[in-house]
Amino acid sequence: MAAEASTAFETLLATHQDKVFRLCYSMLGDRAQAEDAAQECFLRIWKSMDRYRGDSAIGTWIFSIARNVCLTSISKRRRSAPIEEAERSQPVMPDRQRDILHLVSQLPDNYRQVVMLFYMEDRSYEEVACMLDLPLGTVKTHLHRARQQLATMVKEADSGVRRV
Amino acid sequence: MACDEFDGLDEELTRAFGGTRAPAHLASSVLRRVRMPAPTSLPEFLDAIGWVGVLAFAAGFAFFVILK
Repeated sequence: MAAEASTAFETLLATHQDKVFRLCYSMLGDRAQAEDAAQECFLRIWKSMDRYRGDSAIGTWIFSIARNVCLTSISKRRRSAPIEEAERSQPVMPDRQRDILHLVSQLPDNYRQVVMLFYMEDRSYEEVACMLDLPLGTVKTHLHRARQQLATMVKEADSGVRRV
Repeated sequence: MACDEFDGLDEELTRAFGGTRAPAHLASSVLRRVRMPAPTSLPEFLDAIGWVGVLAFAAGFAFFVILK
Protein backbone atom coordinates (compact mmCIF):
# COMPACT_ATOMS: atom_id res chain seq x y z
CA MET A 1 0.00 0.00 0.00
CA ALA A 2 2.80 2.40 0.97
CA ALA A 3 4.67 1.49 -2.20
CA GLU A 4 1.50 2.10 -4.25
CA ALA A 5 1.02 5.52 -2.65
CA SER A 6 4.65 6.37 -3.26
CA THR A 7 4.39 5.42 -6.93
CA ALA A 8 1.16 7.39 -7.31
CA PHE A 9 2.82 10.41 -5.69
CA GLU A 10 5.86 10.18 -7.95
CA THR A 11 3.59 10.09 -11.01
CA LEU A 12 1.60 13.04 -9.74
CA LEU A 13 4.80 14.97 -9.04
CA ALA A 14 6.14 14.29 -12.52
CA THR A 15 2.92 15.31 -14.26
CA HIS A 16 2.11 18.40 -12.20
CA GLN A 17 5.44 19.90 -11.13
CA ASP A 18 5.65 22.35 -14.05
CA LYS A 19 2.10 23.60 -13.65
CA VAL A 20 2.42 23.96 -9.87
CA PHE A 21 5.72 25.81 -10.28
CA ARG A 22 4.20 28.15 -12.88
CA LEU A 23 1.18 28.85 -10.66
CA CYS A 24 3.48 29.63 -7.71
CA TYR A 25 5.77 31.77 -9.88
CA SER A 26 2.82 33.79 -11.18
CA MET A 27 1.41 34.32 -7.69
CA LEU A 28 4.70 35.12 -5.97
CA GLY A 29 6.54 36.80 -8.85
CA ASP A 30 9.84 35.28 -7.78
CA ARG A 31 11.46 32.04 -8.95
CA ALA A 32 13.21 31.09 -5.70
CA GLN A 33 10.08 31.67 -3.64
CA ALA A 34 8.04 29.80 -6.23
CA GLU A 35 10.36 26.82 -5.89
CA ASP A 36 10.00 26.81 -2.10
CA ALA A 37 6.23 27.13 -2.39
CA ALA A 38 6.03 24.32 -4.97
CA GLN A 39 8.04 22.04 -2.67
CA GLU A 40 5.78 22.91 0.27
CA CYS A 41 2.73 22.27 -1.90
CA PHE A 42 3.90 18.77 -2.84
CA LEU A 43 4.77 17.97 0.79
CA ARG A 44 1.22 18.93 1.77
CA ILE A 45 -0.14 16.79 -1.06
CA TRP A 46 1.93 13.84 0.17
CA LYS A 47 0.64 14.28 3.73
CA SER A 48 -2.99 14.60 2.69
CA MET A 49 -3.14 12.21 -0.25
CA ASP A 50 -5.23 9.70 1.71
CA ARG A 51 -7.83 12.41 2.32
CA TYR A 52 -8.38 13.09 -1.39
CA ARG A 53 -11.79 11.60 -2.15
CA GLY A 54 -11.97 12.40 -5.84
CA ASP A 55 -14.86 14.88 -5.43
CA SER A 56 -13.03 17.30 -7.69
CA ALA A 57 -10.50 16.76 -10.46
CA ILE A 58 -7.02 16.04 -9.12
CA GLY A 59 -5.70 19.18 -10.82
CA THR A 60 -8.33 21.35 -9.11
CA TRP A 61 -7.38 19.86 -5.74
CA ILE A 62 -3.65 20.36 -6.36
CA PHE A 63 -4.08 23.95 -7.56
CA SER A 64 -6.17 24.83 -4.50
CA ILE A 65 -3.36 23.54 -2.25
CA ALA A 66 -0.79 25.50 -4.28
CA ARG A 67 -2.85 28.69 -4.06
CA ASN A 68 -3.20 28.29 -0.28
CA VAL A 69 0.55 27.79 0.11
CA CYS A 70 1.20 30.90 -1.98
CA LEU A 71 -1.33 33.00 -0.07
CA THR A 72 0.33 31.97 3.22
CA SER A 73 3.71 32.88 1.75
CA ILE A 74 2.38 36.26 0.57
CA SER A 75 0.91 37.10 3.99
CA LYS A 76 4.20 36.09 5.68
CA ARG A 77 6.06 38.30 3.21
CA ARG A 78 3.76 41.24 4.01
CA ARG A 79 4.37 40.76 7.73
CA SER A 80 8.14 40.75 7.31
CA ALA A 81 10.12 43.56 5.66
CA PRO A 82 9.21 44.07 2.01
CA ILE A 83 11.68 42.41 -0.32
CA GLU A 84 13.77 44.83 -2.29
CA GLU A 85 13.46 44.50 -6.03
CA ALA A 86 17.17 43.73 -6.31
CA GLU A 87 16.85 40.84 -3.90
CA ARG A 88 14.23 39.11 -6.01
CA SER A 89 15.80 36.22 -7.83
CA GLN A 90 15.40 36.48 -11.57
CA PRO A 91 17.46 34.54 -14.07
CA VAL A 92 20.08 36.45 -16.03
CA MET A 93 18.40 37.65 -19.21
CA PRO A 94 18.95 40.09 -22.06
CA ASP A 95 18.18 43.71 -21.13
CA ARG A 96 14.91 44.03 -23.04
CA GLN A 97 13.58 40.84 -21.46
CA ARG A 98 14.63 42.05 -18.04
CA ASP A 99 12.76 45.28 -18.76
CA ILE A 100 9.54 43.44 -19.52
CA LEU A 101 9.93 41.36 -16.32
CA HIS A 102 10.42 44.58 -14.38
CA LEU A 103 7.34 46.15 -15.96
CA VAL A 104 5.24 43.06 -15.30
CA SER A 105 6.37 43.09 -11.65
CA GLN A 106 4.94 46.61 -11.36
CA LEU A 107 1.41 45.55 -12.33
CA PRO A 108 -1.23 45.06 -9.60
CA ASP A 109 -1.00 41.51 -8.16
CA ASN A 110 -4.15 40.17 -9.84
CA TYR A 111 -3.11 41.49 -13.26
CA ARG A 112 0.44 40.22 -12.87
CA GLN A 113 -0.73 36.72 -11.96
CA VAL A 114 -3.04 36.47 -14.97
CA VAL A 115 -0.48 37.87 -17.43
CA MET A 116 2.36 35.59 -16.29
CA LEU A 117 0.22 32.48 -16.18
CA PHE A 118 -1.42 33.22 -19.53
CA TYR A 119 1.92 33.36 -21.35
CA MET A 120 3.37 30.45 -19.36
CA GLU A 121 0.33 28.28 -20.16
CA ASP A 122 0.47 28.68 -23.93
CA ARG A 123 -2.08 31.50 -23.89
CA SER A 124 -4.95 29.39 -22.62
CA TYR A 125 -7.67 31.42 -20.90
CA GLU A 126 -9.35 28.25 -19.61
CA GLU A 127 -6.17 26.95 -18.00
CA VAL A 128 -5.53 30.28 -16.26
CA ALA A 129 -9.14 30.41 -15.01
CA CYS A 130 -8.88 26.87 -13.65
CA MET A 131 -5.50 27.37 -11.99
CA LEU A 132 -6.35 30.70 -10.35
CA ASP A 133 -9.97 29.66 -9.68
CA LEU A 134 -11.33 32.74 -11.46
CA PRO A 135 -14.28 33.09 -13.85
CA LEU A 136 -13.25 33.08 -17.51
CA GLY A 137 -14.63 36.59 -18.01
CA THR A 138 -12.51 37.93 -15.16
CA VAL A 139 -9.38 36.38 -16.67
CA LYS A 140 -10.11 38.02 -20.04
CA THR A 141 -10.82 41.39 -18.44
CA HIS A 142 -7.70 41.28 -16.24
CA LEU A 143 -5.58 40.26 -19.20
CA HIS A 144 -6.90 43.01 -21.45
CA ARG A 145 -6.38 45.68 -18.79
CA ALA A 146 -2.95 44.33 -17.90
CA ARG A 147 -1.86 44.45 -21.54
CA GLN A 148 -3.20 47.99 -21.87
CA GLN A 149 -1.21 49.05 -18.79
CA LEU A 150 1.88 47.24 -20.02
CA ALA A 151 1.65 48.82 -23.48
CA THR A 152 1.50 52.25 -21.85
CA MET A 153 4.42 51.41 -19.57
CA VAL A 154 6.50 50.13 -22.50
CA LYS A 155 5.78 53.32 -24.48
CA GLU A 156 6.76 55.48 -21.51
CA ALA A 157 9.92 53.45 -20.92
CA ASP A 158 10.87 53.64 -24.62
CA SER A 159 10.31 57.38 -24.83
CA GLY A 160 12.32 57.82 -21.62
CA VAL A 161 15.21 55.86 -23.12
CA ARG A 162 15.07 57.90 -26.34
CA ARG A 163 15.08 61.18 -24.40
CA VAL A 164 18.30 60.09 -22.56
CA MET B 1 -6.75 36.29 -30.45
CA ALA B 2 -4.65 39.29 -29.53
CA CYS B 3 -5.35 42.77 -30.84
CA ASP B 4 -2.79 44.13 -33.30
CA GLU B 5 -1.81 46.86 -30.86
CA PHE B 6 -0.54 44.17 -28.48
CA ASP B 7 1.28 42.00 -31.03
CA GLY B 8 4.76 43.24 -30.15
CA LEU B 9 3.96 43.01 -26.47
CA ASP B 10 2.62 39.47 -26.92
CA GLU B 11 5.89 38.39 -28.48
CA GLU B 12 7.94 39.89 -25.67
CA LEU B 13 5.75 38.33 -22.99
CA THR B 14 5.85 34.95 -24.70
CA ARG B 15 9.64 35.19 -24.89
CA ALA B 16 9.80 36.14 -21.19
CA PHE B 17 7.36 33.57 -19.80
CA GLY B 18 6.70 30.95 -22.46
CA GLY B 19 8.23 27.56 -21.77
CA THR B 20 8.70 28.21 -18.06
CA ARG B 21 9.35 24.89 -16.36
CA ALA B 22 9.99 23.76 -12.84
CA PRO B 23 13.69 23.62 -11.90
CA ALA B 24 15.21 20.24 -12.77
CA HIS B 25 15.99 19.45 -9.13
CA LEU B 26 12.48 20.20 -7.81
CA ALA B 27 11.17 16.63 -8.01
CA SER B 28 14.29 15.11 -6.44
CA SER B 29 14.23 17.70 -3.60
CA VAL B 30 10.57 16.91 -2.89
CA LEU B 31 11.16 13.16 -2.93
CA ARG B 32 14.17 13.52 -0.60
CA ARG B 33 12.02 15.48 1.87
CA VAL B 34 9.12 13.02 1.57
CA ARG B 35 11.36 10.04 2.30
CA MET B 36 13.14 11.78 5.18
CA PRO B 37 11.86 10.41 8.52
CA ALA B 38 9.91 13.10 10.38
CA PRO B 39 11.95 13.97 13.53
CA THR B 40 9.01 15.41 15.48
CA SER B 41 5.69 17.08 14.79
CA LEU B 42 6.21 19.59 17.64
CA PRO B 43 7.00 22.60 15.37
CA GLU B 44 3.86 21.93 13.33
CA PHE B 45 1.82 21.59 16.53
CA LEU B 46 3.17 24.89 17.92
CA ASP B 47 2.57 26.57 14.58
CA ALA B 48 -1.01 25.31 14.60
CA ILE B 49 -1.93 26.45 18.10
CA GLY B 50 -0.05 29.78 17.85
CA TRP B 51 1.58 31.77 20.65
CA VAL B 52 -1.77 32.34 22.40
CA GLY B 53 -2.23 28.58 22.57
CA VAL B 54 1.28 28.13 23.97
CA LEU B 55 0.61 30.77 26.64
CA ALA B 56 -2.72 29.16 27.54
CA PHE B 57 -1.04 25.77 27.75
CA ALA B 58 1.77 27.19 29.95
CA ALA B 59 -0.74 29.00 32.18
CA GLY B 60 -2.82 25.84 32.57
CA PHE B 61 0.26 23.83 33.43
CA ALA B 62 1.42 26.43 35.98
CA PHE B 63 -2.06 26.52 37.54
CA PHE B 64 -2.05 22.73 37.80
CA VAL B 65 1.41 22.73 39.46
CA ILE B 66 0.37 25.46 41.96
CA LEU B 67 -2.82 23.57 42.87
CA LYS B 68 -0.80 20.46 43.56
